[in-house]
Amino acid sequence: MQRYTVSSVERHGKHIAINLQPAVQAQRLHFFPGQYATISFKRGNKWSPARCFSMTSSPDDTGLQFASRIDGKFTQQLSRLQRGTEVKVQGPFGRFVIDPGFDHRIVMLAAGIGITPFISMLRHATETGLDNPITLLYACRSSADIPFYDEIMVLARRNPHLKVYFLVSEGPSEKSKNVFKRRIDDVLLARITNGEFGKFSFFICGPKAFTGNMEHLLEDHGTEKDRLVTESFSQATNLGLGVNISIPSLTYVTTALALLAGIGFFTYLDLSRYLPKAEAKAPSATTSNTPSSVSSDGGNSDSSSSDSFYSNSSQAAGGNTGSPASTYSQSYQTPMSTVS
Amino acid sequence: MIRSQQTAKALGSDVVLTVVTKNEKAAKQLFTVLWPKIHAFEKRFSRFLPDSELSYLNANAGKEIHVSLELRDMLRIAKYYGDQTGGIYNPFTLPALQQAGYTGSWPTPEKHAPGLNFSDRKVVNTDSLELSGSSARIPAGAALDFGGIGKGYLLDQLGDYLTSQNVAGYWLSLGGDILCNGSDAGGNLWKIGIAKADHPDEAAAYITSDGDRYAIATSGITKRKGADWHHIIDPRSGRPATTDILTATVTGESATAADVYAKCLVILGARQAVKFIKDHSLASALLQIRHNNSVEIKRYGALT
Repeated sequence: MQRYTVSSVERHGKHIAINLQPAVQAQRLHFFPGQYATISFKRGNKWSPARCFSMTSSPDDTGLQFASRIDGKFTQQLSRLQRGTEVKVQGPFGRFVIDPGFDHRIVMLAAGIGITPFISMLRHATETGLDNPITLLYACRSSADIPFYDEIMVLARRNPHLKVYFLVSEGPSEKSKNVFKRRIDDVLLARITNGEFGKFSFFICGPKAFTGNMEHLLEDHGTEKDRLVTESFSQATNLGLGVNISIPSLTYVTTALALLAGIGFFTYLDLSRYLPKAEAKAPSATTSNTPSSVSSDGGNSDSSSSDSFYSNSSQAAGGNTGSPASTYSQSYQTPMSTVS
Repeated sequence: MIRSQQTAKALGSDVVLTVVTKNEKAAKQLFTVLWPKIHAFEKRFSRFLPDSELSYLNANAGKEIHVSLELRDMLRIAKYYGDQTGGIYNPFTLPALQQAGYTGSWPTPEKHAPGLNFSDRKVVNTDSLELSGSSARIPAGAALDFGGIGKGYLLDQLGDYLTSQNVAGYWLSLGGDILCNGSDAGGNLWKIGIAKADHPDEAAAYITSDGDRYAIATSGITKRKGADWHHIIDPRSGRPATTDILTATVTGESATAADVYAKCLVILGARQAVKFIKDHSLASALLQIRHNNSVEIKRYGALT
């Protein structure tokens, strides 16, 4: 957990950008572009609940920036934060991250305030000279209200590997040559990718319906799941960015589930120890009638051990007979070196 | 001779113990010694347990504290490999690991257990680890963990024990790192698969042991949806390693060494890995390298 203070709050129509500076520069949050963090701020002597927001700043910036649409009590309060207000930041979280070695060609699909993680990515990509081609398709309701429009245009001018297209559903589209009145559909995506969907990595962030539609559309065109990356917490437009997950609530739910699972587990253990003999005999020892060989997977057995924590398997060198393995039996595992 | 096997979850992974003995009773006796050794190791060296000796060491960074013989041994070995690999292996990358989001049950944004969050600390060199007699001191502002060496070290300990008991054959797997010796119940040498990087349930290659002690360790980046996100920190950058090696497998007599070297190869990437293999005279290695959408397999040493 890092402590920051509010340095400024920018208002852009229905949206705000909150700028924070670390209380101690050496203890600032380290993150990858696209990740998110929880923030809570001090209200009098108490701390507000924590809420999730994507960082819009670049990891190389000294401060942090978060952006949101003002559409709830929490974001209303954020918009009124005063300079110097203490803020707790915990994170980073999320896997919405570009891997330059894997994501050779990138298409970013954003809708509404779902643009926020992409802003961090684009800022960082431009600052570091990332030469992976990036195409941003940004769907907004109206050309009059495109969050970060000016900055995206500046980044597109500075970054020769970045192409941006704004797709609006309402209002005039003559704001610039990059604004089009149309939807993101398979025709547009086929044009962007020259029909070679499989050669691109798609990053999708926006309202749940938008994210789902894009995923289905891309999967229908043969895009492998590996190359579809969506933010793990949805950002429905009617909720605004980041009010979906409350870490404390998540903790309570997880704890309750863990307790239930624990009770179930110990009940099962007790039952398994005191079950009638007929059932206890079920995992009876079996032996193979085939010679032992590490590469053979047949004829395995399960020696019924009194130790219920370990799965057992025994196999003789050859010739023995036995009953077929019961449903309790654990197949003999062959040695396989895997990533440890 | 019979072959007996027990499996369980331990050390945050699947553990498989396989022994070849004259009878089942002898196997059971071995298991009753091996499992407690594993659980004791986990209890002592887990970075997730607040009362582990490792956590105590981290909580007292900057102070000279008394350490157990086993911890001192591990620290000594970690320091050795830190020097020997020119810092590519570094046990002090825990802060970077936590900064990258590995707080426990990744990717759940779960709170650290109290006192186990060291993400505000720094990655330091192994040179700064001080060992004297039965005490040790890690620098203030540093935190240590034995990921990348712990399983190998424990495998070597378990192997030493089985050898001392004149066990005819065994293979042990701690989360995919394997140590074997002797032969199976039929007298066949152990045949060990190396998992494919892109299909871990399938084997990319097989190695047949030589009847002596034989260790195989595989390290790599774990594929996730859309990009790679993994727990191998490059100590030079303090970030998850940017590498084209999906998995690196190293064999040798020492599981500890195989564990460390496999991790180093992943960090270095394919180009530098070749020189590292040569410079460190690795018995054999197998690299699974990413090339756009395909995986190239390169073999070195005895695996060629």
